Amino acid sequence: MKVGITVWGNRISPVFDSAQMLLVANIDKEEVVGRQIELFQPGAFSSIIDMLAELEIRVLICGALSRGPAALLDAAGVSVIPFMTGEVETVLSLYAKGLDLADFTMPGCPRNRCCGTNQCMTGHQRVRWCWL
Amino acid sequence: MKESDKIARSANEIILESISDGVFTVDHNWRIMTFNRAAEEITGTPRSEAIGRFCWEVFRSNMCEGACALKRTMKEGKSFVSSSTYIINNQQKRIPISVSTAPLKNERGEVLGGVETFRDHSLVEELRRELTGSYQVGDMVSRSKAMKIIFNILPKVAESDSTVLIEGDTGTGKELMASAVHNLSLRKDEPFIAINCGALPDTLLESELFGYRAGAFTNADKDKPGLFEAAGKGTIFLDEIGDTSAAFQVRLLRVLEEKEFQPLGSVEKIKTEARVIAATNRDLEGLVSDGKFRRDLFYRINIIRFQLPRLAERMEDIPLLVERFVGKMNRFKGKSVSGVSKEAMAVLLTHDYPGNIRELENIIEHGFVLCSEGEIGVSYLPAYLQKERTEMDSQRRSSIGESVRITEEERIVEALKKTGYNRLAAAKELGIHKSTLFRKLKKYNIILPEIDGRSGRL
Repeated sequence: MKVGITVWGNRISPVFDSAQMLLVANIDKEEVVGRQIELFQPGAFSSIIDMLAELEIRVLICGALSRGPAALLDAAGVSVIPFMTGEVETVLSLYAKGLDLADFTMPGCPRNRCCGTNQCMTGHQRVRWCWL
Repeated sequence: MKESDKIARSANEIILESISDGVFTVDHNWRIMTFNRAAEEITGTPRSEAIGRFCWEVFRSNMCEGACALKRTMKEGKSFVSSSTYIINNQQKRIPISVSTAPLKNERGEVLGGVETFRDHSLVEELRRELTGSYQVGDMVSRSKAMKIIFNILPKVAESDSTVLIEGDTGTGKELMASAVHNLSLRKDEPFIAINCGALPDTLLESELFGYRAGAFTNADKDKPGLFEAAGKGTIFLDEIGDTSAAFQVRLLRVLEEKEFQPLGSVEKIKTEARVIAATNRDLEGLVSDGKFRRDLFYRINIIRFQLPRLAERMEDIPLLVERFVGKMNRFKGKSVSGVSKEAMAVLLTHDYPGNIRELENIIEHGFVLCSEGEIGVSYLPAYLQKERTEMDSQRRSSIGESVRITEEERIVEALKKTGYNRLAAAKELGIHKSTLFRKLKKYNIILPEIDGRSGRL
């Protein structure tokens, strides 16, 4: 499966709305087996969503994300793990292994909260984020 | 520490805590050292969580990645005042702010870090939009490419005095656009008059537009000026021009060509300097081809033509429009609705809006009737949208069920082929009991060849 992460150097880009670089990681059997970098126009959300669809990215890990683009990503069927921070490789390898990413949530943001269910699954088992 | 220093320090702390501007300081490693009460409120991050974290993790501004004011301050050792930017708070809201930065220095002038002061401009921004927004391009908000092209040429079109034709489905904002053209033109201080031509019969429309003289018809006991006269040097907006009769079209053509009109019952012509903007929700070219609209009038009004896209073609504008309608209705109705829920937004983003922006506004108004505070949830949306959602869910569920069925059937056939149609081996391969396999073979109506994989015989 493919996962996209908006990046800033070796860290997750702090704000999705103004990010301009996407790392596309290919995950197979809990390992990252391929990486590619894609550049995009910050704020051009329609074209970003088109790009995610073209690259068959179903999961997006990013930093702070405002409501407008969040709704567009949701409607496009992209599962988003927003308000993440930290070094890309660390987060990516934990995600690939299906481990909890709660420690990488930005300060002041809810942690360990999932939509619709009482159980909180992590990693690629279930990545839909719920803002409570 | 001297008593006076202690007092000064304590006073500084009290001041920092009492001001409404957010203030934080960072060290050389961009770690937050202090974080005041207003900073907590604006960012939505408690001080206890902010201290010691990287500033970009807490501040979350669009400047962080490229044009960090604090970075420039630390590098150049200089203060910078008031850059406008935005941050994203912990409720996923964009907060417009202004930022000022200054270096933190010790007694020897060495830079120890930086201080950033920021002010929440949400209210100012909202009021500014409200004041300048009505009937201006600024009010026709959009993120879509098609609308941006229109916005770019609109000021130039407004400056010219040419007749404008606006085409677009009902509810796409034709009148708002006509108002925008008027307000950007040199005629902005003159009247803007709109009339729906499709709503009136010919005679009434003519008397409304051109006026009449006393005695023109029964009960016309005094002169009545028409809208062309009332518009003076302003703009007259003729909506639904495609629905007018052939007779009216002839009269309008004459007015446009000769720049004068004749009130009913008058023998004198009156000059007009009004600019005409026409609009229609019909395919005017098609009407011309069918002989239902005069070709000469079409070419007379088709000097500059705008085609407003349907809302379904600019879905990226829905969150933006929803935010505006919610803000507007909060002010007008005195409520404190924070927006629409994620689920409701998903429903709004999948609807196809035959009524366009007007329909979206009505949907939000419907939500406001039932909801006074918090978020407008799915249950507050009109019944037809909730029905659409239920149908969509059931379609999705049935398509998932179908996929499961096909996948299972394919896996069984694959396993059978792999094991040379040995049922027991295939069941082991699939990790199920032999009797389960037989049940599934029956369920999916999978017909097996006569070979069974054990003997290899027919």
